[in-house]
Amino acid sequence: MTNLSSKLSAKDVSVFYNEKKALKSVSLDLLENAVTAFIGPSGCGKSTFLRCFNRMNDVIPSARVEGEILLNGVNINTPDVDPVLLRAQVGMVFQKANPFPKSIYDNIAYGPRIHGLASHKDDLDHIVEDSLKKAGLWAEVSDRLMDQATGLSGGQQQRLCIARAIAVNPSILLMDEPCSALDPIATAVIEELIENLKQRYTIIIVTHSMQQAARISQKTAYFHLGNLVEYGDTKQIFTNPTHEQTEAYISGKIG
Amino acid sequence: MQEHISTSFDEDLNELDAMVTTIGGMAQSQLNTVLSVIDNLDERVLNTIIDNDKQIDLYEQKVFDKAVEIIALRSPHASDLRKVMIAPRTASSIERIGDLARNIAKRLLALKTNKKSLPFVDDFTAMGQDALNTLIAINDAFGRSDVDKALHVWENDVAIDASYLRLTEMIVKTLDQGNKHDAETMRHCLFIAKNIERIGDHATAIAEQIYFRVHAKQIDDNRPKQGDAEDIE
Repeated sequence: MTNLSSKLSAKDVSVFYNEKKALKSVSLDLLENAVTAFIGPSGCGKSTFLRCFNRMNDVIPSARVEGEILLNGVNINTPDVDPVLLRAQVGMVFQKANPFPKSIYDNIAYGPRIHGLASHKDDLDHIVEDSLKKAGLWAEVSDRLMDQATGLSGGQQQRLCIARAIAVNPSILLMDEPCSALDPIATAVIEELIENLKQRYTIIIVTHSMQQAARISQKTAYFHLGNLVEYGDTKQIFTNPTHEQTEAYISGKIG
Repeated sequence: MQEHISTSFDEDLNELDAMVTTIGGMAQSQLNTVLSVIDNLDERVLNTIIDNDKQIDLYEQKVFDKAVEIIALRSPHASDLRKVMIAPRTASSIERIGDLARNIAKRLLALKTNKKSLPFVDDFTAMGQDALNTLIAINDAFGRSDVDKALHVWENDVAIDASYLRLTEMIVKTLDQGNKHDAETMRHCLFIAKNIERIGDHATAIAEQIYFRVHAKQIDDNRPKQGDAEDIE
């Protein structure tokens, strides 16, 4: 089953937490089959914006989203879009890996089972193997699929979470600081994985590490106090940003 | 050979090295071509050499831009950082060699325009060939990070200096004796000789850069110089 096309854009998206406007009328088009990094200081709205793309802000009672998020031309911010189906197509990986307290196999198989993606066990076995291979984890776990997932290392657990997201055939992957809890080597392994995954998926990554954004993204969006300050090619942002504010942030200057 | 976990980082560094090898080849081609017409002073070829120099200048800028990009996006450290810092310096030395080949071409063209030929052509050819062989050797040393070969180039620049001194002595003697060559022709000869000698000096600079890239320190600068090769302008 081939991935759906992944044209993704935001038009005048604002997010409120009660009366506080945390994201201020942000518009941008995401580049398909590329990695886009959202960077900016704490509280700038980057994670809030990320959560718009799979309606995870729905689960925050105080949050209200305005504007349009268009996935293949369809606005997902409407009642007739099923958020559960949406979150299969737009997968998410979090800062702290959150494997289910199940076996490695069942972690991966869970999503395909409930979405009815496999009619019998052979199909399921194939999906599990394929997902683990795509996440670069198969070689390390193929002989112990029934082991508890919580017994894996931090880096392995995070790759398991990526495999789990991949298993339900998304076109988009959202990653919210996926390497913050990992050591530099595990981080480098995941970054190399992300670099390979972008051939199949459109990826958005929120990161506190500007160096990570510089290493792995093709486009970078810099946020400050809820505003999108600058969005452009990563190479240009990190060699010659257009806005003084962007330059001040990436150079570690205090404005 | 993959060195980094990130394959694209390897690719960036390899691309930077390949760019230095490319510009080295461009300068080599220019010098080789100018030596090939040092006897017959083919105007068309000389003008082509002069026009082609711009390509080397533009390519040097590309090497610089690539190094900046890698520093901005990869934050290289240790030996990676040395590689990235050395590449544009090496490209700059090579670009100067290209300039010198162009300058030689300009002077040969001036001789041709004045209906002269190059005196002491065998000596110039031999010295020029030594400089070309040095450039070939240093390009090869860079490509393979071959410090031993770089040091060999570094130490043997004295041979080019010796040729330069011999040639300039002959030129000056000719002027003293007031014989068959005019002063303008002799002036061009002095500059051509100096340009070839400077090519050797730039090659030693590249040797020093290769040494630093591998060993993270400078060569002890007691490079032998022949007589007053530094002083003649």
